[in-house]
Amino acid sequence: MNFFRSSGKNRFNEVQKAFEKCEDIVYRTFPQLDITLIYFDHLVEKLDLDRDVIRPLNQVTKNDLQGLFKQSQFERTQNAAETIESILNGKVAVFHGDDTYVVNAYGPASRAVVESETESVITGPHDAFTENLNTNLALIRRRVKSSKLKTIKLSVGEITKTSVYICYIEGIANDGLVQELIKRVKNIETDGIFEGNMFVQFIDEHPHSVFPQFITSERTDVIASKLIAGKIAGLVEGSPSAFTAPTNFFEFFSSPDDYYQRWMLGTALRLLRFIAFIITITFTAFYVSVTTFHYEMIPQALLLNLAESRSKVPFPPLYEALLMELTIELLREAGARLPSKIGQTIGIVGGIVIGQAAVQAGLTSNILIIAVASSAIASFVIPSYIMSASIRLIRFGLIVLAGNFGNWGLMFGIALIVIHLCGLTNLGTSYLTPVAPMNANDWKDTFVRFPFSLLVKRPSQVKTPNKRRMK
Amino acid sequence: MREKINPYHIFMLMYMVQSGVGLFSLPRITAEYFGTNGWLAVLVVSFIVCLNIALFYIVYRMGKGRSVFDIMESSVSKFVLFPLYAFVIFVISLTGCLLGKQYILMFQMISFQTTPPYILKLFFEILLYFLLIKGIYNIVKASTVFFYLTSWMPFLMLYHLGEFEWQRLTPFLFQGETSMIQGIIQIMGSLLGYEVSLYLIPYVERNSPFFRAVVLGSLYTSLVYLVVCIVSFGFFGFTMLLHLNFPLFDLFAFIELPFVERFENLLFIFFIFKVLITTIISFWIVQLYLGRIFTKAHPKLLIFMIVLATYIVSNFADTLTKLSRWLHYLFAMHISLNFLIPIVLIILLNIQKRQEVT
Repeated sequence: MNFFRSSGKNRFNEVQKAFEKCEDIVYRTFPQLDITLIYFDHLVEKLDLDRDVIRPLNQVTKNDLQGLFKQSQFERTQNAAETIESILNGKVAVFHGDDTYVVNAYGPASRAVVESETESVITGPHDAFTENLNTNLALIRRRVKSSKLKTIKLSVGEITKTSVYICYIEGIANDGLVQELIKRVKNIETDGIFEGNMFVQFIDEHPHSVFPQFITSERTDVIASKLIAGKIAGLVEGSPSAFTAPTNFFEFFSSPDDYYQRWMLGTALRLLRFIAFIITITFTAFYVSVTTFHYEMIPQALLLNLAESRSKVPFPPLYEALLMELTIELLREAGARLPSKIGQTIGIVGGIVIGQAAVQAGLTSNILIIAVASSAIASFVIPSYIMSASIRLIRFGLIVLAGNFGNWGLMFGIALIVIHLCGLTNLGTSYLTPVAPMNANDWKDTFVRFPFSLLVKRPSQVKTPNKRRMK
Repeated sequence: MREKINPYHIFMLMYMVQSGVGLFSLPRITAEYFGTNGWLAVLVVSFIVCLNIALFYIVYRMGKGRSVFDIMESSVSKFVLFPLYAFVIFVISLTGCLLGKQYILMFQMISFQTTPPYILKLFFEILLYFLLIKGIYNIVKASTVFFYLTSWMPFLMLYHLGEFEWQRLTPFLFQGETSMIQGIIQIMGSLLGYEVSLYLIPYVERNSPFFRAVVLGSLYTSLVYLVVCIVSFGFFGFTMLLHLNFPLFDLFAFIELPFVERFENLLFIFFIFKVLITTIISFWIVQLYLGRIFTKAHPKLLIFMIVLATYIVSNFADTLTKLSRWLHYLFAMHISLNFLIPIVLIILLNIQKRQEVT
């Protein structure tokens, strides 16, 4: 099909043929003006359509049509392909003789701006991104009122043609990193993309790693704060998750709450999250290691209770732990899929009934229940759900290693994780910044949260040309 | 071009490379070879190490950032150099792998008496391989993370201050049965690893305080060694130290926590990070030498061969006594090389300078 420079009649036929068997498309004719409109009723806003197209066409005479088409809302298209793409993007195509125009009346139904369920905060703003790209851009622009906030529109997906906006603040974000990100987005080869978290997997440098390499957030304040720190943000059409880059491992442990509360509280919370990370990753594995190989490490006061509790369990600690960890994961997954009210019931059933019954039935020891529950609770302290899920998965590997090789296996696993993390990069920057490569200044906002008066420099990872904040 | 290695990281790398499992027996070695107040020998050896580093610094200045290999190969034929390379490969790779094996045999003795050491060593080899293939920049990053994971350990010595008594140090200096040359080799052996600075020259930024970081890193290691030795002398006393195989282990055993017993087992396992970096840096140097001999070989294949060959050889050292004997000879050869290589390089650089002038 030749989409280039076709005559008006041919172009109309090509468009009509392209939308064959699309019963949701609307053809509307104005015979007295020799005009046909083609659009998707559900993609256009009725008021815009009426104001910009229908009403002017009803009021105009055939002789004045050329004058009407000179108005700014009418954009002339050059070929059928462009017209088809415009219709798919919610524009109204106006066919008149050899000319084709499109008018933007995009306004599909979308949900209202509501609170994010996965990233709730105690204090701070509650508005979160929606699936509507324009709404999301508006939410960012409302927070960053600067003409230096630049947006670059790209399209991804051979079939879905999903729009992606790359946003950055000129003069603060590193141009090289912006160009690198754009290059990667342009190189994506796929049929379709439906979500921000799915999108970032196409631009990862290490797609086989278990760790998320781009931080994603539904919170507008988070994205705005990262933009002014010199990071680059990306918005994906149809997704409430925006992403930012470059990202480091430690960023996944910070939450907006850290900044909205007093700095000492923010610091304490952040440290708590790192402790939670250590507990999640090692606690159950350490229990398995100690009860399988290193009984000598258990204090005497605890030893009797533990031995009594373990004596009723017919399995080795490894199976016992894997069984309980698996149960917890089942409960979590079931709770996530069910409506919140039923989800709570599952929590109670799982937490009390299964836990209690498992101990009484002699399937598991009560100390293991404490270990498994503590590490599960600790995993939910990590603000990023994606990171939390990755860490929970790694935990299984450590439990298996600890169950087979005790503390040696546990340390081997930890060393392997560190080695893996050392090799990860995000947009060419180290994933372990600011620990390795080390930047002492960045530590003020990594493991702790210093008072704002001391946070005067932007993070080193963004390689900003404008290192000092407030400039 | 790859990012250059920052002096901060060099400092941490030096500490991680130098400090290792040798620290566990060091207080006994100082007592055995130097007699009363043998801990002072650490200061002497630390000074010798600094002199050796000074030789590296002269090479760095005179060579203007050129690598060791570039300097050597631009003046000496490869037929002469390759046997020397082979000898260096033999000494460094064996030292590295046997230090790893020493740690594993000690670990086996403490926790896994019935598990064959070759199984435990296999895990160690896997870590070596995966880190080595990532290149020096990532090795340095890993050493930084491992440094933080173990940086708290020297502070454990504070726990023993309550039991420390100055009178146990005695007023006598280097009295008892002594063998100072042997002792210096042993102590220097536990401080080996600083030679990596010579091979890191092309990877650091010119005019950065690179050698200051090397010296500070080395001094920090010496300080930790010194503290451990002083505490051991003041805690156990000279006579008892002679009868303890691994005094640091006994010091750790003294630490009691309410929620965990045999804390020393847990502490000992943290040393895996230090030993890993010590061994990996040795293998990295070996990889550089092998890369000069087998110029067309794939780096991953070379690394695999290094890890495999040293794994096989290390299995022959099946007892700690045999291993200590082997290590003693290797330390002597390694120390000689550490002095010989920079001296040869300085001579070559002088010749090259004269040739340039003429």
